Amino acid sequence: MLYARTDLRRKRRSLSENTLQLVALAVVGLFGAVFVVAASFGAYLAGEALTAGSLDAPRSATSGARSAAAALWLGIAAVVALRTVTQNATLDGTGGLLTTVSHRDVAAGVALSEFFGLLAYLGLPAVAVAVAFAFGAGSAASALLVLLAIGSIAATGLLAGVVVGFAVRNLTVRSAFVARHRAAIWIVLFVAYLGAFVTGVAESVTAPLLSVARGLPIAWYGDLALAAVAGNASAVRAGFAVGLTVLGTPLLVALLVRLAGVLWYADPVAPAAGSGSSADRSTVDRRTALTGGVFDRVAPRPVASVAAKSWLRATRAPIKLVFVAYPAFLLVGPLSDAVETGAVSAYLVVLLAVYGAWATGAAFTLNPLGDEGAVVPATVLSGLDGRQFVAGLLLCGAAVGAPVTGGAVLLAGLLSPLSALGSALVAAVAVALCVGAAGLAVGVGTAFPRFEAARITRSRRAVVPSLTAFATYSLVLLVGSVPGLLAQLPPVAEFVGRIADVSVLTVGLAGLAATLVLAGGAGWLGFRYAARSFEEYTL
Amino acid sequence: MASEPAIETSGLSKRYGGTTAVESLDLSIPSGAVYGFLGPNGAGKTTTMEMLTTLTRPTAGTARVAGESIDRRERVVPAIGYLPEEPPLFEELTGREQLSYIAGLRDLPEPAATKRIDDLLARFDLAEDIGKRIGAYSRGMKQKTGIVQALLHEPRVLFLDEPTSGLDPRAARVVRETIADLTADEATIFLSTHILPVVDELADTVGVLADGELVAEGAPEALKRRAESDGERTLEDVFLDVTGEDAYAGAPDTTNPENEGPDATRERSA
Repeated sequence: MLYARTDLRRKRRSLSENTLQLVALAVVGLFGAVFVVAASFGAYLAGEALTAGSLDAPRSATSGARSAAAALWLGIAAVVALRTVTQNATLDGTGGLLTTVSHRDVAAGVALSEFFGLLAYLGLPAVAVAVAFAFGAGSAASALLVLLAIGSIAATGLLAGVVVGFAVRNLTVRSAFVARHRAAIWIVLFVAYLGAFVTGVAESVTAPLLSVARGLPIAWYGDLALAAVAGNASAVRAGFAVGLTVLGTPLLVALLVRLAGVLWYADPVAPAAGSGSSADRSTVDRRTALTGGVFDRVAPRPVASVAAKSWLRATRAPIKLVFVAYPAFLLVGPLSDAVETGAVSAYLVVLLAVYGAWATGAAFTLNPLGDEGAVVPATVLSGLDGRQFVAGLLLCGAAVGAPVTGGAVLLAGLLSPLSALGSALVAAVAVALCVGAAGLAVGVGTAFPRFEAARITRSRRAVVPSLTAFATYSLVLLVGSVPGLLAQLPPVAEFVGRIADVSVLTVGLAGLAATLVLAGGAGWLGFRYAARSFEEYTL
Repeated sequence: MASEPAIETSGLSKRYGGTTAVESLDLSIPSGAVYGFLGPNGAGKTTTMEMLTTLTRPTAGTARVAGESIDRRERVVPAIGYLPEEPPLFEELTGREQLSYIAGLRDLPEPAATKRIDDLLARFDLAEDIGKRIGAYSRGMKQKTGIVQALLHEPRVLFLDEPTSGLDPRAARVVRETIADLTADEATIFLSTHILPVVDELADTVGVLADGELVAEGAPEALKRRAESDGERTLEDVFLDVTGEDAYAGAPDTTNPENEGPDATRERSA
């Protein structure tokens, strides 16, 4: 209990210190309030209709309750499992904690803290819905039964989620394969998650899942909620639902304690470059040599060293780059449309070009000094000059970002209504933007650095670019890319062509030239500023 | 020893707003010497090292390191090595990758750089673990890797901030032996540490900083001898005397001309 209380206090303080999160929470709360009012009203009407027998198909009310119960249970379990894997299973100060209290108490504290956290979000809406339903049904017992059902769903769903989370974490520390390919696995999962929405597969996955879940004991909580008012709700199932909670809770707690003990006292397997075995060493040495070799071929050794270092660090701690993926959600809508209609829009091509360039700049160059962390003194005192340092970072970003973006844009352009020439022009703009974006980012990142680590997950902190750098960089890049990219869109090019009395091709070329000048100029200025700042840098 | 001092400062000061970190520091450290830099926490030792390594600009005064003004970073850095209190290492890289990275930044010629790395790794007993990621290293292993990194380019002046911190006795001895070897090659060591026996064993001269001012300076033996008026004294006693509030209670008369000479010590009002 003490662990849970302390943990909740830490979470509350952490939240109160983060203005952005507070604002986001307030917005969510506002929308949440509207949802709760609507849900309560719906529950009131449903209760009234059920009692009056005015529902067309009373059987469907029970079926709906079962579906809702199963969906809520699965939702809670999934969210909690994810939170456990990414945050809760990793303790702060494990050694001190486990030598002070037993791992049973800590494991129970982890679950309890999560439960109270869930209660903070779910408690009030649950009470509102239960009371409204009871009012509508004219049955005080209904309020208690609905609350009992929701509370049971929360307890068992949460515990199941925590258990699954601990099981997955055990896998990550005990399986050499998972430890070695953790980054790749996360990327695959993220892409699959994104892909499921883009392709519309998400619905076809969740629908059968819910259908199966409706037949599982977790759906019996629906019968429990309606036991007092719906004649066709099974009293036996409602009783079993209570039994499921009474028996399932201690069983899940026992499982949780067991898995937590195994995890916290485990000797984790080391990732590839960590085991120290000769086989692993040679694999790592080969990869390192390959990375260094690629950059060595195109740049002087100090520049190639910076580029190779940045690449190796990023591939081994990709969580630091997770922020680059956030704006990719903007692509979900147009990509989804493209999949559904089988046609790539010119708008999507332009969006791909802007996002690719943005990501190229943001990934490696938006916090050049802050990303060096404690190594800044060694880097600054290495004799490396500013241009070499900045060029190394640019090389790392552009070497990956420019060809990938250029290729993706060209391919999408050829599949879109754009002409072959138009596609080639947009791809050219995209490549130029990538290089310009990297130069711009390194300048903006130097002007607005961030040295302190931000919390990525509860157990992982990483130095990510500052919000000011993000905003400034994004804004300038967007403004710079507008003429070159919009001029390639046929309606825009035709409109401008008519006004200026020039051909569409001329408009396209003029736009391209404008963007090249803007992006190139911003990139060049950013490069120079960052290089000079590096050379003059003091602690 | 060469006639030109390896480190020379005159009135070197650093202020942060209204706070004085270092006040009018005058040092003259000959080439090939080991200078033990002592002082309580917050005395200004790290700030002094950061100024001498060009990482921080002084508010007033001048300094020359390896014959170059600290205003000219590009001329100073090829001659110096610096190990800060927190070893400057990337946790995501392996030890070898980190050292190769620094060698690459310095553009050290191959295969000599690799041989130099291998020699230092063998010396510090790191060869076996060099393929592991630094994030998995112990504090001592990180410290040893940091030292190797600072030595890669064979600097003429080496600044070490708590170099034996976190090291086991064997590794600490290797560090001490390495420092002794380096001075034999005419390298100058500027050594900041709280482990006074290390200074006692290695330092040719000891400077004690308190509240940003140099309150005592001299050879360890001379400092101890001068404070032996009430019995046998250690360097620790001297340190506590000169940095404490009753720093000068019973201390010898610093104006006594007999104190001048090769073993002369100086004390200043804190």
